[in-house]
This record gives sequence, structure tokens and C-alpha cells, in this order.
Amino acid sequence: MGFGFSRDDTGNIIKEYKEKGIFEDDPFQSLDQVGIGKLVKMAVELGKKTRPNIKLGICGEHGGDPKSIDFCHRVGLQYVSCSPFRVPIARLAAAQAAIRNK
Amino acid sequence: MKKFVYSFNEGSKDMRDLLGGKGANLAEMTKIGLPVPFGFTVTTEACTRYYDEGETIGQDIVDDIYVKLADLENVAGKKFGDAANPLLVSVRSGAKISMPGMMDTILNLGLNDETVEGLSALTENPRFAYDSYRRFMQMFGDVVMGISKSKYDVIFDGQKDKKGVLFDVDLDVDDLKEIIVGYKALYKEEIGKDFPQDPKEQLMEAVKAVFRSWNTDRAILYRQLNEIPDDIGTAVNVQSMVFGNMGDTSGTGVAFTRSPVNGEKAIFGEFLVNAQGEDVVAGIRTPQPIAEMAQAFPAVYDDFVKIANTLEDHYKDMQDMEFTVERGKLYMLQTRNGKRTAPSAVKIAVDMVGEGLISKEDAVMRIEPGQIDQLLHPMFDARELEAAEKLTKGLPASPGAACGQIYFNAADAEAAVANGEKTILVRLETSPEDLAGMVAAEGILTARGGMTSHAAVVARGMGKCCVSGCSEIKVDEEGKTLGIGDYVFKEGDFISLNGTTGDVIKGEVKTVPPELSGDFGTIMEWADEIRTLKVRTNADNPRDAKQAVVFGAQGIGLCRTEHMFFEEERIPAIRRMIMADTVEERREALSFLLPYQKGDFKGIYEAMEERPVTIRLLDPPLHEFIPHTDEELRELAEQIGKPYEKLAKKAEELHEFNPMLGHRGCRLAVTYPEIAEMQAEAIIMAAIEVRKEKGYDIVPEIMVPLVGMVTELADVKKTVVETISRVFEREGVEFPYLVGTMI
Repeated sequence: MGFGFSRDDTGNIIKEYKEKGIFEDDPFQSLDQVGIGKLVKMAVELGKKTRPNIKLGICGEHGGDPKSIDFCHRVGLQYVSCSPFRVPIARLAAAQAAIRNK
Repeated sequence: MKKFVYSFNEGSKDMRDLLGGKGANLAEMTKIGLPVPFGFTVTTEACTRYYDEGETIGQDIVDDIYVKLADLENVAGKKFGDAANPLLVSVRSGAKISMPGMMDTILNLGLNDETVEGLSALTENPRFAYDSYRRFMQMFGDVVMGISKSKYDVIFDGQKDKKGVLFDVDLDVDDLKEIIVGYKALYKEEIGKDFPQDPKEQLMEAVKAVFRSWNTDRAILYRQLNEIPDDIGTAVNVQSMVFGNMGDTSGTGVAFTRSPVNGEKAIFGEFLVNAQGEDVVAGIRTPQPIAEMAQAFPAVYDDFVKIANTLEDHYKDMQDMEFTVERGKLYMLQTRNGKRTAPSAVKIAVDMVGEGLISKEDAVMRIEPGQIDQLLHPMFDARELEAAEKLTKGLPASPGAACGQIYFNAADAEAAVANGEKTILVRLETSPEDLAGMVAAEGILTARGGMTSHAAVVARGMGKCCVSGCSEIKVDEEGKTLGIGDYVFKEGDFISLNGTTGDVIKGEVKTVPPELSGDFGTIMEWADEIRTLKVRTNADNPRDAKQAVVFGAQGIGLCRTEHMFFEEERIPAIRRMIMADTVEERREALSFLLPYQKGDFKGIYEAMEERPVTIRLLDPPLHEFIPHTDEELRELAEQIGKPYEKLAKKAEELHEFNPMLGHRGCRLAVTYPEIAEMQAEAIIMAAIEVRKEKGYDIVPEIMVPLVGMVTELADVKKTVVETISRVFEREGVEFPYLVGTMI
């Protein structure tokens, strides 16, 4: 949404963007940490300032993508939410994020 | 001054960026005193400079190479191009991240019309010498100069025909000399120059060819698939040759310190007597299991086992090794952390913690999260499998279950997958050109090639089911048929493959969910101990919710409510609601939906027990629910007793140019609060009933979708809170609940 991209209509555009090196990853698979990530970070920081125990999480394909999970760990979200078959991947990736960012 | 070339005794395993994986490990093995033929590595930075400087090698780098070459000559006690005692080298690529089968190798470099005589005298084996020379000419022409391999084959096979023999070994020295004459003529015809006789020229051309091979299409595709950056370049390893094809006291092999298939702790590998390394990897000859090496060369095998153990203790990880035995002496040519299947990765990690080699954290880091997928996917249903007809057995090259329609080349398989079919790629043997087809297929079946063939290695890397070396099948790639016993399967016929046992099975076999306990359970337990981030699931029905709980989900992070509206008996009610003229009419339609929604939520609460569940209020624009054709709209008009024209007008009103940015999300709840009221009541009533019936302490979480402003949220929240307060009062209960949003 932050990009103004519709997942259902941009498959071919994203493919070409990746080929041309404009996108490193498909932003619907792996969270764009530079732009969208900044919005997430802002939400976390401002949210916690107002209410320190605010419940924050992310849902969608990103919740099962190891790179995005690492980002969510670093930025201080409480949970990720992903499709059932990605849950074990997310559990492992969350542990790896914790080890990597110790 | 920057150093672009390192001898093997100048590097270490920590220099992968500069020396590439292969070079760094050759240096490390040299450092810890293992028998490694001496050599040197041209760095990845030299490759980067090669591309920066318009695909040329700078003179300073050339000079560096010659200095290290002189060192190599001293250590080997042989001279490059020396007619009496020639130094021969192999030239191999080696990037930081291993790219199996992607880059090209040149062996026996240094041979020319003079040195071949020297080699012949030294080995007292002229046939061997001339065979090495013609192999080198062929590899050089093919790999370095890009002359089609088939043109060499024509000359080679022509000589066999002329002589009336079937096998390569039946050609004698004179035949080989004739072939060499033919190869020289071919080279001159194709390149316009004579085949280079100067070994230094051969070497520089080979180094350039390795650098060029970094940018072949198949290397680029492999990097894309594995997310390897394009700009890190490859190193070049130049190493003194050792010969595994010097007769029956020589041989070559590849082996793993533990099984890359299931992780079992035992040397796993393959071996060929009297062969060069490429023969094993390319799957040209089907090798013997490594255990037979213990019988053929007991003393060498003992040495090898010791070295394997040393390497595993040193690297603290399972090693994938290449070695050669030259006249009874063992040489190590490569070691690296072995690629492995997910079951193998999990078992090795858990075992190594038990053995005190690594920590729990190390074990958790060792598992590739993407790889776990393999463990979660179904296996064959045991009963169906028993009933199915097993046709034949190949090598269990990469585990898992696959069934699909057979296709005989990568392009056909890809096209079929694009058409929505599930496919099995059937090939005599695979090569890097088949990669895209292998990616598309459910499984891969090959007639030739061992457990370390291209098909096997690549399939294991991708976590794809593969049966290789299935020698009883007859694959006609041209005619597109697969013969097994009395059966002949045509393109598009179904077969099933069991990559864990090697079975090839007739027809489609049903699959069952995987086993999640054992070593996998242990690793996941450790992961749960370590992580701080919670993991929830997206689920909007009890089946998905239950599956997610089995997989360890700690709650539902997103339960969409729109899918529930599409079910057959509900869609008329939602359409009636959308087409309503008055609030009362809308409420009436919604009241019909309420029990259904409550039932949905009860099922999900029950599946999740006391785990938190976040339910999102209706998000998509309403026109997604109304019919799209005139005919359907007329039917609807009849169904709800409203004039068609009115409905058509309404449908047109609902049409949006930008539905993603249109009347959706919280905007629905703001303009039609009745929908949010109904959903809030269903969410709370479901919680009340499940709390009562099951005793679960449920704290519902209600998500207001797509909020832009706090005033929007406040408006919808007011609707939700007032509804819930009313329900609490009516039912005489109260418990905590949360209202939040999605931004």
C-alpha cells in the first residue's frame, strides 16, 4: 500500500523491476526495509511513546519471510503472523534473528 | 601493493571473500598438514578487475601469476612446459559461495606436443599420456574457446567407427594420435589459429575463461535462484595435477562425512577406480559406493577416514570432500561444508550438539529456514502407497514425495506447469541447461548418474524430490516416451516418485501430512527457547487454525472475515444486504448472517483454545460480492424481489476505478455501521459461548482495517464498543476485549 502497488495487478511490473535491479526483492514477499521499514519503525517508536505496552505485530506473507522477520525482531514488534505452513519457518527465523542480533 | 595471487600456504579458511570457498579451503587443508597437491589461487578481486578493465587481465596480475607459478614449479619439482619433466595443472573456478556444476574445470593443462612425450616416458604409459592430451585439447576447445563439444565427439566417435570398436578403452596410442591431429585441424578451422603450444598462453586463456564463466546464463540463473550477488566474482584455483586414471591402483571419488540424505553418521560417497574426477560428477560412469573403496584400497581408505574425521572436527560441520588416489597415494582436492536435505540438516545439527561439537545456538543457525519447508510437506499415504504399483527403483537422490505428469525436457515441463499441471521431469541425465525445468517440476527422474550427479546435487539443494540413476527405465527424449518393464508411458501420463526410497510408482499416489516430532521437534524447541518474537498465523477457518497450532502458532494474527461471506448459503444474504434500500432492510439481511459469523468464530476459538485471535472487520469493497454478469444480476433481482433496473443502477454505483483505494476498510464500517455491529456481536457472542462451553479464557481482539486517521478509528471503535456493551448487558457477562487497527 505504501508503494501504491496492487499485488493482483503488478506481477509483471515487479518481475521487470527485479530484472532491472530496481527492486532487490519482491516487496510482497520481503518487506522493503528502507521505505516501508521506516514507516513501520516510526509506528513502533511513536506507538510505544504514547503507550509503552502497545501490542504491535505484522501480518501477511512478510510474516513468513526470514529477512523480514529479522527486521521485525530488530524494530521491536511483538509478533509476526503468517500462513500456517510458514509458522515453523517463522519460529526458526525468529530464533536466528535473536541470535544474530544479540 | 595489492596482492592478487596467493599460494595455498599463504591463505586460510577465513579468506573466502578473497580466495573463494574452494581456494580458502585448499589453503586451510594445506595449513593443517593434509595431503593437498600444491598450487595457488587468483583472487576474486582479480576477477572484479577483469570486468572493470573491459575483460582484460592487468599486466601486474599476470606477473603475480608467473611468480606463484615459479613457486609451484619449485614445490612440485617439475617445470611448466618442460619436455622431460612437465608440470601439469588443473584450473578450476571457486566463488565465495559454492555454485555446483555452474563453472567449468580444465584438467591436464600444460600438455603440448612435447610435454605429452615427457608424460608418456615418466608414466611409462603412452596411451595414458595421449589420452590425457586429447582430453585436455577437447576441454580447452570446449570450455575455454567455446567450440561445440559435439564437433569433438564426431572426430572421436569417427575414429571408433573407423576402427570398428565400441569402447573408448579399445582405442590405442596411434588412434589417439590420429584423433589429436583431427582435434588440431578442428581448432584451426574454428579459431583461425593453431592450438596453443605454450603452456603459459594456455594458462592465461584458461584463467580468462573462468572469469568469463562467472557471467554465463546458467551461472546468472543459479545466482538469482540462490540470492547470490552478481558482483562478488570468482577466484581461480591453479593446482598441480594428480591422476586418478593411472591404472588400477588409482581412482577418484567424492564423499561426505555424514549422509547428506538422512544425516546418518557414516562416510557416504562414491568412488571410481581408474578415473578422473569429472567422470564421477558428470555421471558418465555410474560409480561404486565408497564402502567398496575399503576393499580395493584398505590402507588408503583408513587414511581417508582419518582425514575426514579431522576435517569434520576442524570445521565443526559435515564436509563434502573430493579426493584422488594416484598410484596408491591419497590426495585431497576439495573440502567444503556439504549441502544436505532438510532431514539431514536437522539430524546433523541435533547430533552435533549431542557430540559436544556445536552449541544449541549453532544448531539453530545451521538450519536454512526456507529448507524446513521440505519437512512440512506431505509424504505418500502409506496405505495408498502399498496399493500402488511400484514399477522400478532408482537411487534415492533427494527425499520427499512427488506425483505429476511426465515431460521429457525442461521447456515442456515449464510450459505444462504454466498451464497449471503438476509435472515430473524425466531425463536421461540432467545438465545445468535443465535448471529451469527442474525448478518448475514436482520431481525429477533420471536414467543415469549417481547420488552425486548433477540431478541429485541440484535437487537436494532445491529440496525437490529426485530419483536418479534409474538404470531400468528407457527414456526416449526425442520420442517422448518412458519405458519401464512392459509399460510405455507417454508425455502427460502420471507417475509418482519416492525420493526417500528411490521407488518409481505408477499413477497418482495420495499424500499425508509430515512427522513433526523427533529431531525436528528438538530443533524447534531450541528455537522457541531462544526467540523473543512471537509467531502467530493468518487463518480464517478452523482447519487452517488447527494446522497452524500443530505447527506451533501462538495465536491468530489475522482472521479475515470476507471469505466467510462467499459461501453458497450466505452470499444471497450479503447481496440482499448490499442492495438494501433502507437501514432496516440492511439490518434484516445482516441478522440472517449473524449466526453464521458466530459459528465461524466459535470454530476458530475452539481450534485455538486460549490462544489470542485477532479478527479483522470486513475489508474488501462491496462490489466484490455482487454478480458480474447481467444474467446473474437478473437472477438476483428475482431472488430478492427487486426490479432488475434498480439493481443494475446500484451495481454501477458500486463500481470503482481504484477498488484498492476505494470504498473499503474502515470506510465500510463508517458508512454502514450495521455491518460492524453485526460482526462485533458475532465475535463477542462466539466468545461468550465458547467461554461457557469450554471454559477457555478468551480475550477477543477486533481489528479495524485500513485506518488513515485517528478520527476514523474513533468512529468505528465507538460502534464496536457500544455494540459489545449492549451484548454484555443483555447476556449478563463481561470480560476484557481489545479493539485495534491495521495501518
